[in-house]
Amino acid sequence: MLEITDLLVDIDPASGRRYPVHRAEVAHRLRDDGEARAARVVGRLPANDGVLDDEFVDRLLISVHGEIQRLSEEFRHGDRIACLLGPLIATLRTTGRPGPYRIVDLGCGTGYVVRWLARHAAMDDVEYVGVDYNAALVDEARRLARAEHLPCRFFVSDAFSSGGQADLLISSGVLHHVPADHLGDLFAHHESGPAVGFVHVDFQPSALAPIGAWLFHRARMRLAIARFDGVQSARRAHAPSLLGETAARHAPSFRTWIHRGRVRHTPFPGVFASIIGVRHPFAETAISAFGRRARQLEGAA
Amino acid sequence: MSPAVLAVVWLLVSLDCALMGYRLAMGRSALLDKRARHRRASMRAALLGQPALAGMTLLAVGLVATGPTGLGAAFDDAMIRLLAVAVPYAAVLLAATALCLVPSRAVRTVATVTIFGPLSLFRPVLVIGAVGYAVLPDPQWPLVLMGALIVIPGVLVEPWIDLRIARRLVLDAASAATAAALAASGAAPDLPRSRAQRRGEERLETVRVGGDAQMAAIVPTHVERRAEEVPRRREEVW
Repeated sequence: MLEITDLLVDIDPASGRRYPVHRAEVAHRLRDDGEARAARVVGRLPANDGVLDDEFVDRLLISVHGEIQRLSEEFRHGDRIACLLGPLIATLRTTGRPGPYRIVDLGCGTGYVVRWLARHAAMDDVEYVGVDYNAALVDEARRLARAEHLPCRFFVSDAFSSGGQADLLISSGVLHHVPADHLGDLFAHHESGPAVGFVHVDFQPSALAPIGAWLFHRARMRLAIARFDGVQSARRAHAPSLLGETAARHAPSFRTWIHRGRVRHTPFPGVFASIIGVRHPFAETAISAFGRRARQLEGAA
Repeated sequence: MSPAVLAVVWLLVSLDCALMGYRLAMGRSALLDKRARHRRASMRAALLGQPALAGMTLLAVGLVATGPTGLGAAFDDAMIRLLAVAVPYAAVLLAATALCLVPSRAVRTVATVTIFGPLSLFRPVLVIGAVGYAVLPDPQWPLVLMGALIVIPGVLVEPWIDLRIARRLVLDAASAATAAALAASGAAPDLPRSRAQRRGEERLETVRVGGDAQMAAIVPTHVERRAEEVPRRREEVW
């Protein structure tokens, strides 16, 4: 299952070099994937000699991310992550590490979560940073942060980069972009890096998820790409159990838990699930910091 | 015609206009604080709906005054049938809004997924159904005319504006691409400036599209800043 936005930009993660993307090739891949409608959407994008126009694609991606931000706003992703991040920040303070503590949002896009945290969860000893491999999205995130005088920073880098220093890693709606056979690389990167913990929030797969995603995106999104990719995101989300197993295998120095955002004692399935990880020496401290909410962490018993 | 029934219809249509304004304003700014913007959009849409409502009320009053005896009672019955559908819909929306006051993210998420999303999506169907239910039991031509005057704008205005917004988003992206091409070629012709351009928010430029033919492009000024940043830089350490 492919998303259109994943195919519109081809950037080498190692060098940051951007390669031309051929429109016909993208359309062909989508058609091969059984997505004729998405192929038609791509076929309408402007191209020079068959190569997609970089500037157009960048501006379009900014517009698509603006649309997708509605989802983050309505589902309160900022608050969702802040609630899980709070206990981890409290844990960090007990580790003896000197502050300020750097919280890095991997694949931040236009930086909604980082900006939200900078506005609503600003702390003297915490620094919020967003990274994304797309320079245009990072520029937009910086512009938006400047416009509201928010104390956060954004850099061009990819989620697998080893160049960064982070105390905690976070992401929202990113894991489903990583194919199942590459998830291990992501957690291996966590393992080898300096971060004490991580929180990744993503869609939770269920039988109702594609229908719910279709309803939501049809009602809320205006751009065909945002509508298509939104539904695909829900369809290709990884099962929390797979995330937990992969993290345990590739990041063994972390203890991990799953948090499902669902209304207790109701039949409604949760829309999002989070995987939370903390280095083993600090796991008990983290559980204490979660307090009564630790009961909602699967695997914390 | 009963003034009380008319007042309830007026109130509900005004509320619907305000909600439409809110929906149309959503997703158009990526800033965090948009409450004032959304409030303004809701107020503007509700106000813009007032002349239309007043016009339709005057038309209905005129039709009743000049129409056959009993047309006023038929209008009342039709409006009551309309309210039989519209009031529960509004009540569900208000209940869902009240649900959002519960300090639980999961509850709000369920409200969004199961109530706000589907109700927004099926609103056009509901408008057609409500008007059909109101008019079809007594299909006199003045009632059919008023029903059509409710259905056509009620169903088409929001998708039409949404489509224009989507096209504008794509056109902005295309303008940005044009601007980058202009920045690379160094072309910067003099053309009359709009108010937005005088404020420095946009600029109008032309691009040669073959021979002597030129195409105008409205370009947001921040595009120029981005064009200057080519080639892209890459920070290795964050």
